[in-house]
Amino acid sequence: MSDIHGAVGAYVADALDPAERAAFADHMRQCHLCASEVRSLTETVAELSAGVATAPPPQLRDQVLRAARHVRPLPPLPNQGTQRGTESAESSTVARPADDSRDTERPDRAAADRAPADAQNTSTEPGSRIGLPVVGTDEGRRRSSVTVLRRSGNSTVFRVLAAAALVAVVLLGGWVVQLRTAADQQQQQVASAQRAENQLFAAADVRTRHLQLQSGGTLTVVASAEQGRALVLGPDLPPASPGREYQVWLMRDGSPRPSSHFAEGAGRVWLTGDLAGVQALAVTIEPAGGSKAPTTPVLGSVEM
Amino acid sequence: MPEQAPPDPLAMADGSGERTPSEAERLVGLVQQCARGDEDSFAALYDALAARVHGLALRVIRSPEMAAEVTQEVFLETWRTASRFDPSRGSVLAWLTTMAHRRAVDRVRASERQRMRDQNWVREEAPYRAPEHPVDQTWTEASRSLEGQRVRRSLDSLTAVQRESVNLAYFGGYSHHEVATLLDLPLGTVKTRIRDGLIRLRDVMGVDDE
Repeated sequence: MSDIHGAVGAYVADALDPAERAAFADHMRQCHLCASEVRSLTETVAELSAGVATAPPPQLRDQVLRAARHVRPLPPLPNQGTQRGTESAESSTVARPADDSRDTERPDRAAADRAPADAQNTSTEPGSRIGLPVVGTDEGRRRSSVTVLRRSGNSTVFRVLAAAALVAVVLLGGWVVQLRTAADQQQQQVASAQRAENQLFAAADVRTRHLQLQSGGTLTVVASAEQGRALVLGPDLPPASPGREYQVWLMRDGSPRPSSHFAEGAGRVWLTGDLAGVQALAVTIEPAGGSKAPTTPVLGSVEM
Repeated sequence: MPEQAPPDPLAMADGSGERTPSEAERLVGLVQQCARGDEDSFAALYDALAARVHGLALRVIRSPEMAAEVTQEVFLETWRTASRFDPSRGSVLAWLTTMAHRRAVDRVRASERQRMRDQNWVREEAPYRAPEHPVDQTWTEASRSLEGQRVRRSLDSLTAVQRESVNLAYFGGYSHHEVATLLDLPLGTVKTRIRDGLIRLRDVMGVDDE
């Protein structure tokens, strides 16, 4: 018992082996003396970092700030800050672009909600609908205007006009639906891409590697062995010359396997191919479309 | 948005020598703003603590590339989990340096990395089995800033064995088994020295969490 108390210092200094660390963490949950000592000694070692403060490379700042834009801050835990539970849940949504845009989307959404009804009604029997009693507020409203027209003037002309107007409304409705669907699909794609990236960024074993290219620019590789996935980002990568592409190679026991290729690093590219056991990544310039084996000297490589 | 974060990291290290409660509170405020997705606050947090996080990672790992990677990981993790930060459980500085240290140590413990780091260590310094050298190294680095001088004075107050144990474990990233072997001491002694060394540092530096 007193033995495990003695591990406080080694725990704080991260000097325990994984098994010892886990055992101590277990112990700490029951021993508030150890927990409070860990807390205060953690503050102490944090102060020691002042002795070794060293500015990171200047370009890292930009890179970190840019990378953060692709990482969604987690919402607070439900049991966190009980006295302001709803308030914090509210404020956490500020970070979510989808929620932010909700208000501005609302009019559009209202139109879209109406539109399917229009489209459905008319697609079944388009012409026959005019002049028939219709249930549903919008149709009803439209029909009443048709009725007014019919009463005040000569039927055929107005019937044609009314039909044209209705067709226009229907077409417009359909167009809005189409727009809406396209926007939804796009949004879903963005959301699912974002989700996949977030999952990667959230992996317990996520690692970042930087790959300096001799040709200029840096590629950043975000990888998780657990998920067997890796994402390549190269926001400042100069575009490859026309007809050429960058290609990533998965190095296993010294032999390169082809992976993703891209002309510029503006987007984010998932690495293709089996990442298990990959020891390093290398990059070359290849003819557009990629090669099966590298045809040019390696521009840069990084250990995984 | 308070804009008082000095961009110069050394000035920062000096300034934090007078780490007033208001500076610690400012950092808490920045983290809370990060939880709401405020990028300016994230930038301010980076400016305030990047040198600390990076310097610690660099001291342990020795590879500038890997230290930069750890720095990036730590800040992105801070951004992602800012809403989970609980000021009642510790300072922002301690949160970030703990993440940085643990990740740095994880990296050097991976055997492949171990080899590279040991090569750097041997290249940069005398053989690492002479414990004076890591200690001297920290002395040099520690004298860089006022805050560093405070750390140095605190380390001065330790016994030789306490100092070597704390140095090898914390700045060297060695496990207590390795420290015991390096110092040729029983494991129990090393554990005790690390603990009472840190307690002594706490008392000398006057760090207290309420």
